Amino acid sequence: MQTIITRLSFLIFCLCSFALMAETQTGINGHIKDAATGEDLIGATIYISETGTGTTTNVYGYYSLAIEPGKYNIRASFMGYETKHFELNIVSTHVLNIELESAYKQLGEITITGDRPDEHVKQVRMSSNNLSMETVKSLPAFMGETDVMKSLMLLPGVSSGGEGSSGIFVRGGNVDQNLVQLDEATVYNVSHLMGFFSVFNADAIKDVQIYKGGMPANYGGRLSSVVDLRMKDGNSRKFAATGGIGSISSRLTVEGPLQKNVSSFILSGRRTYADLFLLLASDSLIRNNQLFFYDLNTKANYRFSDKDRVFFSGYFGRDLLRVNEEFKMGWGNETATVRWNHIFNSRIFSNFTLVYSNFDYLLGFNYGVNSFDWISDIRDYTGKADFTFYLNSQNTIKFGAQSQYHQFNPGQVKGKGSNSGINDFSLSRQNALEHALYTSNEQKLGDALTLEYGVRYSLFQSIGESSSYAFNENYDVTDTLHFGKGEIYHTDHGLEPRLALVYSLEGNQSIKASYNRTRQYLQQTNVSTAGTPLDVWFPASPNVKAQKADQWAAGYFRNFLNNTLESSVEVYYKDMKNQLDFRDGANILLNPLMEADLRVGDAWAYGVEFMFNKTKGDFTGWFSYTWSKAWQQIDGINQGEKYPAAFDRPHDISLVLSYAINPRLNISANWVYQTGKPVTLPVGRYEYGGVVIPVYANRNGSRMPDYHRLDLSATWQTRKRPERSWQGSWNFSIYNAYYRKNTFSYSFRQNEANQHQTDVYKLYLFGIVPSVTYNFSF
Amino acid sequence: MKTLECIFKIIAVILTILLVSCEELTELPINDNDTKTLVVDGMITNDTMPQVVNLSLTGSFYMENEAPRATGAEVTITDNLGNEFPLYESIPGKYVTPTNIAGIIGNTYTLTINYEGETYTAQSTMPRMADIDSLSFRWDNFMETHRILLFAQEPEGKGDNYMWQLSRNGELLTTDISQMMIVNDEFVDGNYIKGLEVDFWEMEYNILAGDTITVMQYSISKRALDFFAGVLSEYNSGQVAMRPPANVASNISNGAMGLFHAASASRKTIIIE
Repeated sequence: MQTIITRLSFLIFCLCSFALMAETQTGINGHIKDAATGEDLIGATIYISETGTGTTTNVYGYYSLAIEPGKYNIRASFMGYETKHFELNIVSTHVLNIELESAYKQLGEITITGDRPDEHVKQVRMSSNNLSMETVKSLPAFMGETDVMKSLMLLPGVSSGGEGSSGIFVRGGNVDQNLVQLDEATVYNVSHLMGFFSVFNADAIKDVQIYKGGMPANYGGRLSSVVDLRMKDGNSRKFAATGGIGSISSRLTVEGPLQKNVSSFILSGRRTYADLFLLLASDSLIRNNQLFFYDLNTKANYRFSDKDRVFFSGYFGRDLLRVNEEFKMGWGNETATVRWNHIFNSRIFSNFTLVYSNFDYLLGFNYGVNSFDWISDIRDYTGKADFTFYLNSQNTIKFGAQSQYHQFNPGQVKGKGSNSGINDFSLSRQNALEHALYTSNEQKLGDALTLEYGVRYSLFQSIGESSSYAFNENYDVTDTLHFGKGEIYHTDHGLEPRLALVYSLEGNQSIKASYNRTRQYLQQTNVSTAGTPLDVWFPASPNVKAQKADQWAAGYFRNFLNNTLESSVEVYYKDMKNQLDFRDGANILLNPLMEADLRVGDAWAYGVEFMFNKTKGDFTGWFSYTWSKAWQQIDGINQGEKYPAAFDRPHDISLVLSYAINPRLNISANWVYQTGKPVTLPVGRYEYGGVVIPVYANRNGSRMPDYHRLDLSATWQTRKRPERSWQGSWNFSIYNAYYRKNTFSYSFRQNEANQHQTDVYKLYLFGIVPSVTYNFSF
Repeated sequence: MKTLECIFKIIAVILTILLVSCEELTELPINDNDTKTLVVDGMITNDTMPQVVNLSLTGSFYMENEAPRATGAEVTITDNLGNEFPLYESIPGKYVTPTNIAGIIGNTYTLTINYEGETYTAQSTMPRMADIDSLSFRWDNFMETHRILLFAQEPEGKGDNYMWQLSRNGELLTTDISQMMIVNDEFVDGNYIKGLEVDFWEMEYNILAGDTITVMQYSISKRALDFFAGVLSEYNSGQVAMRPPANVASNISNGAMGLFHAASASRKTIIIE
């Protein structure tokens, strides 16, 4: 093992030196931008007709392509933009910065000529989807709040945890097995308002990419998926503002150049005002309640030269719930990212990142002797260096390193006020270092075959000052261990091989396959049936082994109708080790011996995913169908027998349709169907001390009724006056249009008339929820 | 911590109000199972009185009658000093000691049941007692009831667990365990408790001037606390459960359900003026 790591480090070192000294071959490189706003375009295609080679821009809009000297026709294109053609005589390294015009030229006149002809089929990436913000914004949304996380749930292999939940479950993986990153900062809790809304404000986001498998080597730390969100950089040409006034919240985004074409900024804020209605109540007990969230995205960038650019981005969001003076609860994420793009030479693009990320919650209880404040937080400091080495037209090598310092404060209680009978109490803080090295190469072998192979090595170290418990086989404490400051008391590490390939066939079709291993060192206690923020993150430790997964996937991809209809079928099998669940009757909150309530076992998932996506025309949308199973087998749970995971939803259908009736009126609909959620239901009952208590048989042995729902929306753009830059649009949406009473949970109560009879009630969260939003930009 | 349960209730209530959630009567998509398992509900206290053990059986989830009683069992309580107290069946399923007896703090009691050819046993040691210092009350304008405040010295050393019951004019107010408050001393160890509201969560008592209120404070075992916490969690399950639904762990051998435990009691009475 040691030698492999040494070799890997050596390899990366060699790559660095080799890359830095590389003779500059002839070729083209540069940035591709939106002509109107100066925003970098992510994933734009550059294609050379003569050689049939091409590449796409990276997340900073940069591309580099090696070609022999000569005369070439070059085509630059991007979804929703007009394609541009260039004729170049290349003699040395040529910098070609390209600006593409949005195809939405004048209001509503949709003349999409831009395209990405066959990326879907040709690229090596599989089990991955990119959602454009245009698509996200056109989807019907709950209460009119455009929601990135909820949009992801409409993709194959991604399912929701239940109504009103922002967490996603990817290919049989748990909700804490997704790495959600906003400008490379980990976002530990994606929920606002218990999950009814997600923390991302769509106005500030430029691009969303989800990886469900075939994970690139530069990502790690979670088993099941990566959701990579990139914020807008801000308009570098002119000042602009966009915003919206909705049923539940209002948004405002301002952006503009600080120094034209050199630096720009964006500032985007959102706040709900549901609780402002409470002020109208005559009853002071209602009036004194508060329930709101807000978030603020901010970003600025500065271009020192053609080779150097710096980005600062930050996110700050908070939820607050207060009931009179007696109870308050608040939680939120804060992230800050500083990045420096440096282009060493035309072949080597590098990025250096520093990240701070924090999630915390606070509970305050103010009730006589029961008065206390309870806080908990998780904090990360991260440093990263990532390099892309465009070796030649056949090979693109990526390598890099990262280090993270995690601080966990799992829970701390402080008595409040002179009357409080509560003692101060805290769970042992924990600290850890998580490092990774990776390298990968995307290699074209002939015209048909492209390979991407790589490896990631990750290392996790628990460091003092902290304490831990030793348990015997009955989970009784045998020893309390204290670790001094800086002492490394637990180490876990391993290699994570990654492999993907695409083999192109005649007629716009291809076969893809991938394998990846992933390792995860942090996990969350997700137990409550609602997404409360009280789910605590905790690290691997002497008692908790790192989670490990192997995933194999294969797929068939084909485009039809001149690349306007993309289709794919993928199958996967995922094998997960060291999976955790809580024993029956576990005590999760503020329990210093929480690790003794954990049980460890295996999980495995498999499925097949179908996707048809029409990307162009007046009529767009997609249909996806997933059949899957997710199993767990954990000793000490369900008598050690396998049981379906709580998020096992065998059949999952999403249908998304959008139709432009005329340039100013667009209607869209989505329909989702999922097999009911597994649930543990009583098979009998008994009486004790005057109450009826259910008797259960198997964990997750029953299912709720199937879930389905139709949402509709219409967007109508107001007529634009030529002399004014103001552009408005109205969005009307209906959530749950046919009033499906989807079961959220069951509860049991004794019949009032006959105390011996148990009545079962089902709770459903929403009837038909209509909403109106007015959006504007100027 | 009982307050945590309350927090979840509050959150559930708020979400319910704000998000127009609805509830309706339904039926469960389950296969009912009519296995009959023995259920034990027994407690021995340091009060001098006939000590009682109730035996019943599990039944179908949808049954509409009282749980079937387990009759004809042979029930005995013994202590670690070799004393043996046989119980007799006073009414079907209710087994009592023939004379008034009192448990002793620190002694370990063993319950043995012979029922339909099977033997079931359970053990519990009577925990130390904490005295109630005094009681007082305050008027709760919102709920229009008096609240009973308890003052007591919590003994030094973690591991004490408590359960409270209330009676008004000699009649039990906390008629079932879902209304009783249970708490451990994890966060209050060794403190002087200055006015704990022992009727904190159940708000429907309507305690008015002239009522005579008695508070019974039981020191209970950890096993009993866990059992009651499990019962309360099941009882409150549904909207926002804190843990996945699971059978409440019993302390009875041989697969029987329920709890047998020894508890020490302390009392105080107050007249509301």
